Amino acid sequence: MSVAGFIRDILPLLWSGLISGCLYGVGALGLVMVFKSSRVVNFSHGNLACLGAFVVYGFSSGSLLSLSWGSAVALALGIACTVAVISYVLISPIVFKSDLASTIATLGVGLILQGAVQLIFGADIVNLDLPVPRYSFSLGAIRISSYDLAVLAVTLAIVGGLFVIIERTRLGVAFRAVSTNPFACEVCGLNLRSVHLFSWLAGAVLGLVAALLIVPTTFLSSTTVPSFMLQAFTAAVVGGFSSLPGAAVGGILVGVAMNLFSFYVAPEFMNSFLLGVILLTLNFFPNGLLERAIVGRV
Amino acid sequence: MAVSDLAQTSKAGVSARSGHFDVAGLSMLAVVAVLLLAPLLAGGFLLYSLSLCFANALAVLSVSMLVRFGGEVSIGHSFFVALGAYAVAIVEHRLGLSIVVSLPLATLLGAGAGFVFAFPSRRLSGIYLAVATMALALALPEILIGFEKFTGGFEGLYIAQDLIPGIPKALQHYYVALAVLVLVCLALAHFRKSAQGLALLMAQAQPRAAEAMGITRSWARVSIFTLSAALAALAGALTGFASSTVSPNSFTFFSGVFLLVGSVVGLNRLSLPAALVGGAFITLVPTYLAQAGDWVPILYGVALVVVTLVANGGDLRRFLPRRVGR
Amino acid sequence: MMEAATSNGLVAEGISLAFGGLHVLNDVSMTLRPGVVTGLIGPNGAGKTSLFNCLTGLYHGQRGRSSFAGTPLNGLGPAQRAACGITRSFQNLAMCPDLSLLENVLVGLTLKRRSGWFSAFVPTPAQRAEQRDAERRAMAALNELGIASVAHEKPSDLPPGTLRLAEIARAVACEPRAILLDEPAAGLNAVETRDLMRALRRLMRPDLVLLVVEHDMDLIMELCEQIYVLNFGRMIASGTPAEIRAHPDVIRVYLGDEADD
Repeated sequence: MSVAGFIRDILPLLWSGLISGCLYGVGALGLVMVFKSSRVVNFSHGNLACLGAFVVYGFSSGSLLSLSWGSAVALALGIACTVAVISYVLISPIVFKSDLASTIATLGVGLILQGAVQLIFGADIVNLDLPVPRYSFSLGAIRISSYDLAVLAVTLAIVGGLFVIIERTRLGVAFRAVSTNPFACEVCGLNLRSVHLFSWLAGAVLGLVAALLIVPTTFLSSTTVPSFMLQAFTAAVVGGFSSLPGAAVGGILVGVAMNLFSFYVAPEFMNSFLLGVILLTLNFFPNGLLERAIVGRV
Repeated sequence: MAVSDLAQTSKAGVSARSGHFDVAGLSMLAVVAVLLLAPLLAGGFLLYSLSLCFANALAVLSVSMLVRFGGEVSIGHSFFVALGAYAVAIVEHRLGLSIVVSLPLATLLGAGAGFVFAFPSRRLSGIYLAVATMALALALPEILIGFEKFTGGFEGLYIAQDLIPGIPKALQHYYVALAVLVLVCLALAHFRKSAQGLALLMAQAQPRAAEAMGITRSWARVSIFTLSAALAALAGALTGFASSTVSPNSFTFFSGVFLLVGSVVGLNRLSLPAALVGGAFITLVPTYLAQAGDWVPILYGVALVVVTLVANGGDLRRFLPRRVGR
Repeated sequence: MMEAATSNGLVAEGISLAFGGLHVLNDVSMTLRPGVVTGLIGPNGAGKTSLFNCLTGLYHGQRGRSSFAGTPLNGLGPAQRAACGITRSFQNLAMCPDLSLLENVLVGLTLKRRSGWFSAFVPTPAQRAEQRDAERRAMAALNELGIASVAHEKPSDLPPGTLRLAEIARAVACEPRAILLDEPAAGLNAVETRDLMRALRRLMRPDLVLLVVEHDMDLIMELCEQIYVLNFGRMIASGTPAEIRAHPDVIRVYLGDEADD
């Protein structure tokens, strides 16, 4: 194979990996925010995102209601945030007692949401596209579509917005403080629970956005969600579970790696590949590939 | 003087313990007696469900064992259960040998796979390990379907060979599963008192002190995970034997979570009643809710949340190890 | 003759330890001779715990060497030091709450146990015999510390004084060559402290290294034959109790500063 041919093959792979990676990164950001502030791995993250996406579908396609996509999304955001608050309230008695027990409780919440999706929407496999006009153009060997641009735009907006909140607002400062030393924050009179709620709500929003953006590339069903969860988790692991920028970068790395693996090796073993990535990263780079400081590893 | 003191103390200790043993032991014997006689009264379907229940109880025990002795949670033990089940099926298909051979083989394979997973993960604990086990559970279905030549792909494989020729299959499944379950519970009770069991419990409660006594965290983590995976594979072998089939349908991502549900419902205990409760919960609930299948995850989820809240909210029980470090 | 004695003991030479810019230990040396109850004392923040952790392998100083009975200890972690026969106690009692006192002490014998994995699950006559032997040794250790009567109680039901003794029993059960005790009298009342001192004196053997790190000056003076005094990460004095009592630097540290207990 010639070098030119190789480049012709790999550039589109890198580009689409970047795009999907943005979404894994957004999903991972949700996970990492919750983890940083409350030391809980939210296993219901993917299920909540799935529920939200299905709600958008239900409200916009006519099966439940016939609203515009925008209103459906707003409604879904509201529902997702409510569920996030309820989840946190359920878990709040044990959040300060045991990280592991809280994490298991989120597994329970995830199961409940999974059942709810199946109950309401059955085993439907549906298409849920973005209401973005379709066009595309070529840049060298890469084909750039309106979808790609939408993903990039939304990702940048979200990451930018999150950055502004965390670096510039009081809530953001509180979040950073709680992530570093929750005990000291309590001593200073900071309300930990409000910070937790903020991160859980942010997580729910991020998860829903990522789900809505990724579903157009495949389809939406109650079983595609665990796969998305695994990808977001891998991104969080690669980026170091305690690093927000790491989550975003990790997402892109995972997206690209997945595309390369799928093209050059075997697409049907994607999850096994991700398992390998997780094990290797956790073993050799316990703080993520970006080696940021982290507490909680042996 | 000192010697007679010693003798006094140990006698007192033993009699106190044997008094306690009588109550628990008698009720245990009663339960076992009922189960031994059940086939006389129970119909075919109930018998089949109970056999599966015993096998699932073993799988639940493997997760509980990891929690009790290792302080860790796994949602990927379905991987090792599947390994055991498919080992039995493949040995029968490729080598024509019955479960007599494949049961111990499955257990060894489970131990091997557990070690292969646990060794690189030996520095992981708590949440990070749970995430790694999640990856195991997610990779499982695609491995089962991807290696179609061995695993029979979507359709799976049949397991038809008898363990004891001449006896009705249903009874074989029932009594073999029950016997293994009882033996494993006894073995686990013995393990609790063994040098290794005590070492693992200490490593979990006081890791620094354990280290100062020569028990390293790596040894503890790898050992308990290997043992727990071996037990899960044993359970899987019996699951396959009891249900006479293996297929990817039985091993979705959620199977691993359901095992954790069964363990939590049994309060992570390693006794026969706890195993039975957990096993029954994850076997009989889907059976009796077959019409309303979507309610199964909801019920499980509620059970998980409620039991976790109650067990941790009340300060009476230390149910899962507390991670105070932030 | 001095050389022969020290080569059998636990020797630390020139240990320096710093965390970032914070210098915790500065060129600290001590020799723990077998058969001699050695004490380490110093005011709060002197670095006693850090030195103790260096000796037990939890910390590794940036500079310095340590050895035990001629075997170099540099770079060895706590588990490996345990294999060399060095045991320790913990200031915050490190008992497993699910195990009885006897079982807690049994764990101290782990390195000496010989049963394999198979017999851990399936009782064999050999394993039963080995178990009985281990229990006998654990009981003997508890008896030596005077608490055999509560061997089957759980730690949560017992007073801290008893648990302290149980910790020491656990450290002693495997017949170690060196026992390092971290503030064994912390939180004990006068009666319990006296029991502790009596137990420690009974424990002493000519080939055993025993180090006691303490706050309590009276306890150290009464118990130890050799005392090291640490202050601000430096060893300011060492010698017999009489020498220490008369040492001007020690007097200044303990009467000049308002050292509170």
